[in-house]
Parts: sequence; structure tokens; C-alpha cells
Amino acid sequence: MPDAATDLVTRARAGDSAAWEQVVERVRNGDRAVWEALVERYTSLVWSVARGFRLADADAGDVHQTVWLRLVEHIERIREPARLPGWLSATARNECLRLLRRQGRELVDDEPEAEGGSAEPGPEELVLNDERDAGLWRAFAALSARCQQLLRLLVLEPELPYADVAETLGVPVGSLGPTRSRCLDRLRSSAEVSRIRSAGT
Amino acid sequence: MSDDDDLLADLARVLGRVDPPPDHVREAAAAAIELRAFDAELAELLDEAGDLADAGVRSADLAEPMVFEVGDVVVEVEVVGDELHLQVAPTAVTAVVVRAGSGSAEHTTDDLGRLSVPVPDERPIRFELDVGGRRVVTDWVVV
Repeated sequence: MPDAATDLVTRARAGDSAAWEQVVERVRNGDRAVWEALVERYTSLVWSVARGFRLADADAGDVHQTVWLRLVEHIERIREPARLPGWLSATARNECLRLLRRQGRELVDDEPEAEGGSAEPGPEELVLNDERDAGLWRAFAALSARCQQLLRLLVLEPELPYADVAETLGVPVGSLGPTRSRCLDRLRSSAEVSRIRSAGT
Repeated sequence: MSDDDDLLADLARVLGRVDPPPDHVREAAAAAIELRAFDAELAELLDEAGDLADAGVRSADLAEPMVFEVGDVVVEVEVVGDELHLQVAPTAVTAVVVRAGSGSAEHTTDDLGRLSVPVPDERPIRFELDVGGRRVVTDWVVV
């Protein structure tokens, strides 16, 4: 049975704005249980944004920690509690961009990974003993950075308002629908997936 | 549409298994609330980033300092090699604690509000200042 703090965060995430107000109010008052439940639920979102910028473990961890430490100090200033997930993803994005800039790197948006990097089957595939899942992972890793970022957000936070998704990706809201279709088409039609899928059925 | 939903569900399963946040990352974030600075003014990081990028400035050309601001207190931080160069305004001798992860180090600026310190090993970092009796903390940043 989930504890009260987890239950509160779960209700908030389901779109209960009164629950969001309670979450923020309790964190302001130093309620550690609610804070931990919030971190537990949204750590994947922040981590995933950092990964979407192709940050390595150490950098992704630093961005992740920065975002949560920032929230601790900014919690008094959150005016729209229900938009907290959007605040988290947007802050993560800003910190990723800052880090990349300071390292003199830039994110290449629309070119699929041509060499090395995440397109290569990596050690992560060791945890995917299912051929079909491994194929899907390879197809995903070969998508453009923008497609990967968008799909990660859609998968992790289906409830995230499109305005927040657009802000996190740094693109106009109107482009999201077409981009979503394009990215899913690419993922689906990837030779790898089709081959594995047809072989599997 | 349901084809899309199936595909997204498959992808959710795969991503959840391939690249979950490491435990130590999750635990560090859970502990972040302990570092809350009560009774301090928050000097927010001004977002130099988006604006300059939008203006077409390339990252390689940027050597701009990070700027934190609250009221009349401004803290500029520039990374120069393996040192951080701070400029605090109003200019006066100012006590500065550099907090990095679980550690911290105390420093004092010169009478022009300047301070050079080594870049800490741990990240992220923030600065905690005593500005004429006012307690000011900056946003956390990765340097």
C-alpha cells in the first residue's frame, strides 16, 4: 500500500491541481516524505531530459542534482504548482544547454547519429535479452536528438502539457504534432524493427 | 492511433530498462532538501544562454561570466582555467562560502569585491555571501 506522500504525488500527477498545491505547500514546509515522493516520481523525467541531450553519466548526474537543488530554493516562487513538471523539464533543458555551451559542444538537432555514440549497440543492450526490445532500442538510438527527446517526454510524461514539451525542446507548439508523427513513423519503419518484428510474429 | 500507443508503450518499457536514473543520483536528489538555505535572499542566475543563442552567438565565442542577481547585489562568476573569478557588488570586503556537494570552503573577497578560488572538485556549486549583514545565496550551477 502506498504511503500518504506517494499517494499525494500520484494524485497530483494524475492532474489533480489541488494535490499539486498541497505538494508544493508541504515541500515549502520541509515535508521530507513528500519531497522524496516527488523526487522518486520525477527523477526519470529530469534524467531523461539530460540523456536526450546526450550527456554522459557524470554530466547527466550533475544536471539532475542541479535541477533538484534549484527547486529546493525556488519552491517559494513556484506560482503554478500544477506546472511543476514543466518547470523541472525546462530547468533541466536550460542546464543541459549551459553545460554543453561551457564544454564548447553543441547539440546536433536533426542529423541521425552517423557514427559511434548511442547508435552503436552498447552495454545497455545486455539488459535487453529480448530481441525485439533490443531492435527497438537500436532504432530509437538511431533517431535524431529531437525525435529522441520528444519521444522520451511523451513516454515518461504523457500528461505534460504541449506548451511545456515545446519549451523543453525549444520548438514551437504547433510543430509538435507533425514531429511526433514523423518520429514515430521513423521509429516504426526502421529496418531493424520491421525485421525483428516480422521475424518475431 | 492505437498503433502509435502500442509503439510508445513498447518504448516506455525499453527505456525504463535500458537507462533508468542510477540509485546514487536519485538518493542525492532526495537529500537535496537538507541544503535548503533558510532566511537567505536568493540571487538568481540570469539566463545568458537562450538569449545569446537566439542572437546567433556561437558557443565558442562565449566567455561571458555567469551573473547572479538579487536587488542591488550582483555576483559575477567567470571560469578561467581551473579557477573561478568572482566579482561581488556592491564592492566591499565580503565573506563568501563556496559550497560544492557536501563540502564547503570559506573565503573573503578583497576590498573591491574580488575573489579567485580553485574550481571545486564536486559539482554543482553555489556561493553563500554575507553582504553587509544580509545573507545571500546564489542559484546552484554546474561549472
